Amino acid sequence: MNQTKSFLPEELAKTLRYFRKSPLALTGVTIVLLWVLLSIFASYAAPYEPLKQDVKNRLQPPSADHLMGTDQLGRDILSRIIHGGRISLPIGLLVVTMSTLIGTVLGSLAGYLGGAVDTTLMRLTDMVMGFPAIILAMSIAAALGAGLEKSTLAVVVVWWPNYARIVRSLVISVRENEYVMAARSLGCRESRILLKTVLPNCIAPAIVMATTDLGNAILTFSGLSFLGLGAVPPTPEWGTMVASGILVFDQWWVSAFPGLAILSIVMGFNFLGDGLRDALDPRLRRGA
Amino acid sequence: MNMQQFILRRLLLMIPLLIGISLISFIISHSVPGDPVAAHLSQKAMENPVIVATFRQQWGLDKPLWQQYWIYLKNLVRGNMGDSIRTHRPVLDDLRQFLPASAELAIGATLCSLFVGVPFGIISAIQKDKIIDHIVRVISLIGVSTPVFWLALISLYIFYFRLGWLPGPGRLDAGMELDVKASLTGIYIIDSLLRWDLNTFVIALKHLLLPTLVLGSGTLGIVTRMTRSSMLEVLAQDYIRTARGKGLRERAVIVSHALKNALIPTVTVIGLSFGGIMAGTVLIETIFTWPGIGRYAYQSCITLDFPAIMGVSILIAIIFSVVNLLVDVSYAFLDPRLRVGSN
Repeated sequence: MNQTKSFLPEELAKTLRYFRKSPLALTGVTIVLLWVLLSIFASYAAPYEPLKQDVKNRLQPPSADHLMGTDQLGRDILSRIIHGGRISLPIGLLVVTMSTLIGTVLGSLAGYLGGAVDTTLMRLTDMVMGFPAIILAMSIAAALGAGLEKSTLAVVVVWWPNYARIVRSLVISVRENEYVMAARSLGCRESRILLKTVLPNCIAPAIVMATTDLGNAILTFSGLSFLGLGAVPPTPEWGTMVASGILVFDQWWVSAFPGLAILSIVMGFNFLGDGLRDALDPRLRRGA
Repeated sequence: MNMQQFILRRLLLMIPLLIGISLISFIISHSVPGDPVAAHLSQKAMENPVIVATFRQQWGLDKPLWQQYWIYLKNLVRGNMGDSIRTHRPVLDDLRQFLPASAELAIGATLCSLFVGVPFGIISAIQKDKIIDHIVRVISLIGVSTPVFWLALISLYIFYFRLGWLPGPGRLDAGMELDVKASLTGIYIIDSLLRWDLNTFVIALKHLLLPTLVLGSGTLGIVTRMTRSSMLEVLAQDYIRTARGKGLRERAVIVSHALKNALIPTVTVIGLSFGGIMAGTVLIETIFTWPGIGRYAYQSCITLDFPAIMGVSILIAIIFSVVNLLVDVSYAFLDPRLRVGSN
């Protein structure tokens, strides 16, 4: 019943070996790790306080003192960007974790129980998926009012259906395996079979998907923030910072650098995900 | 099942979807703390209970929830989406007015991503693991990682503000106005061509260029990657070896034997990435002050204009379903096996 146990380490080692050889994936890991470290040690890494205003030095172009210049209130943009990682990374993580959780619960129930439960849950999923995601997220965020938690919730609401679908299809393919039947013939309760036998065999692909999805979650959240539906000033959030640059259009650095921060971290996750997909797909691996 | 039955069945399946969408937006709009009354009346008017009560009654906000939903559904079937709280106009009129501008953008962006992404994907696949392949792959990954709102601002800064090569926001130059009533399609580049007004055509095209390219950049990356991977799969097939074996030129093998078979996943992905384009139009139209439904959706959301939110959601869901239906129908043209099967 635990056939994955003997199978996994070998497969994992192969994956890791392939992964090491992929420059793209390594670049991705490096970028992501760099951002994680910068965010953890933001107070040490940032040259200035992210919220400290210095109106005399407002809208300074990039210089030795302020590598990325200052914004309308004279705040150091580099420091704000470094601290911004503390918002975007956890929110991205929270969105995919919550979506994985909701998706796993609903998807596994639908896939395992089948019948009316399946139909009801999947119609619900279809309904949410059929709704234009950006409008759903915007209207929830607008209705709940500004604030990080509320806009995170808005993204989660549009994010989980994908996971429910994937987990459901995984559960359906796993539940037909002989080891599931073996567990059943041993007299295991259904809940135990689902939790101990079926789900462990489904969770790995879901986690891979969540990892590769992190960048998209960050991108979506920053879009909401850009529209004024996410973080509230003076929070040093990247999307909000890009938006603040619209008012001082000719001072390009106010928008340009926070946007590059979003680009770099999303790119890091996409490179990582691309490498991960290649590494996990045996067909592609043989070809390489 | 023949093609007509297939299309009919898919169209019928849209009905439960639309009911679901209207239900969801209805539930959200009424279960969240946001109050449309507070969003639409001034502070002073809010202090006057008579005004507040009149407002509630006027928009049916004083009736029980299920009644409000029932009224909405009944009107919807008659083609009446209600009045927008913000613009005080029928939602359907608003949508009719704003849709062409968005269609212009979305179709342009899709075409851009197809005409650039497919060749890129083919080159990448032919040159697999060579330097060009790696460059294309990295560029397309950067493309899908770029925040469109940022790209829009930066390209406006460079091409409009700095270089002055392209015009700024808006569909036409400041002060110019196409006669909306006289326009046939509402799509300016088509209208101006139909009237042989080349001056307007050039100006409209210039205004369209930047938002279209920015909007298409994300899909471009997706199309490139999908074309590459499906080309790789097709190129490994036996019939490609046969085609090469009978002495066809490589160009003929790629274009007439491989490409057509590789296009199905690409076309599918275009249909699916339409959702991403829609999300992009919200951001792009807001930045370029482009009077389309993306901007309309955004303005409706921030003012909690529920009739408008529901209307625009239903419209987009219909467009999304129709686009994906067209995608499915196009399979029959790309894959003769499906055509045989359908007759």
